[in-house]
Amino acid sequence: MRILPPMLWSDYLYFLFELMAFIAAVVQWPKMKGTPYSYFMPFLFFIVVYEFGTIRNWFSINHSNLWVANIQMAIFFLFNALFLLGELKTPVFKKHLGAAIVFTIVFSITNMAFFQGFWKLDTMSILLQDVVLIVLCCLYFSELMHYTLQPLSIIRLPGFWVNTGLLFFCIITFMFFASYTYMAYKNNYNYFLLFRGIANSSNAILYSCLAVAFLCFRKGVEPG
Amino acid sequence: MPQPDQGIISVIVAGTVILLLLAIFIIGFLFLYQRRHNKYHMEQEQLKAAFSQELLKTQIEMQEQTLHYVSQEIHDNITQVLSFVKLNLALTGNLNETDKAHKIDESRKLVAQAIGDLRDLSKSLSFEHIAQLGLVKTITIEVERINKSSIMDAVMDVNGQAFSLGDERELVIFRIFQEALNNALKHAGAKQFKINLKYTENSFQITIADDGAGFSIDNLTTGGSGLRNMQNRAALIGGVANISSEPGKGCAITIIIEPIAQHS
Repeated sequence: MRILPPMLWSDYLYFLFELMAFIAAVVQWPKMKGTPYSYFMPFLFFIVVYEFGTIRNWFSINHSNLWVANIQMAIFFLFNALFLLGELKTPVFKKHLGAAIVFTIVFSITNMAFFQGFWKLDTMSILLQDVVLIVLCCLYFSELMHYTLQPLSIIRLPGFWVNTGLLFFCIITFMFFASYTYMAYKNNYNYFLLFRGIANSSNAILYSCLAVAFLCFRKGVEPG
Repeated sequence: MPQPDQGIISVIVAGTVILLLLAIFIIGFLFLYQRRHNKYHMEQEQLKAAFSQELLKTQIEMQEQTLHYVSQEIHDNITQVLSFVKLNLALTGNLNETDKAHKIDESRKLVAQAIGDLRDLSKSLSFEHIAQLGLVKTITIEVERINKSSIMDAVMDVNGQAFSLGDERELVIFRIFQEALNNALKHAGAKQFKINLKYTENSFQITIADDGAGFSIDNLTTGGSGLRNMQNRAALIGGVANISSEPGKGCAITIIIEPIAQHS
């Protein structure tokens, strides 16, 4: 068995992207006030505090912080899913996806309490959460294609950037979490490298997209 | 490192790449679709602008034609009638009572005729009368006017139940009719002028035919901007204009608009 290498500063690059998105949310907050995007500021504050705490080992109990990761993932899912649900316009999509979100949360709690447990990473819940978020993103794109009557520049739509970021984030992390239960406890060096790459790239894409979404408000009016 | 683990990592990497490509495809498709949608919308806007411009041009042309007709009518008809009345009344001073009464009666009839002509003129002074009266009634008035002038013999018949094609389309059709009438009078030297309007549930057809000099259809490509204009205008309102003519055999212009529902 190989000893895993110590974490370098470059392994925490993703934290810089989270910080950047949080700063963008704070700067743009006055212009986003009154829109659902204003909730991103407290949410990103929570994310930044969580990541900083994780780096500084604030949440480590018995050399593991997976319990807090489970909670953070559930909050991450709930916030983003509710936000994306609010962005959808079709009532039938809203109804079914609303039910799917409730089911996912109930499943996550049940899984945490009775199946995969509180102290281990609840990968089944994460995969289900990823699937629901991917479906929400795809439905948003579908609506963007079918319901736009006026010509618009989609790169100026904050909703487009949020959905793009989340879609890429969920897709990049999906295969990793699908194999986590089998691979994580083998102390495989390559899997560790993969984790670093996936964590950095997925977070970099998601939080860059979020920062761009907030910057779409720079003219003071919610575009689109 | 055991081989199966390496294989799993490869599967994870390959799977992630495939999923990423799928996401890139979705976003790329969205961009492409949006670009095409924007382009289509821009073309529609340009088409609308061209239509409005053409409509304005049509209205101005109609106004010019109407004013020309009014001026001609005042000069050739009303002024003549009123001059005759003036002459009649000037002569009454030297006539006996019976002849005086006869002249006054004749003058009264002439004034009544002038009033009638002026009323007809006032009807055709505004192009808004098409919207008020409808296409069939407006063309009927024109036909009556042609027959009254005895320049040409005009016949009009309507098949089917007439319905409104919309103000803008009726205006354009009427302008085409005016252009055809002008051609028949000025260039073709026609004696017969036939108008047929055919209304069916989903289509409308108007045929304007004359027995004038006619022309070779090949000339349409070299000259005949008026006829090409008719075709362009018919296309603008979602119709097709077919022009058939032969030297010495008159000319027939048919405009077909179908399906009506799509453009109304």
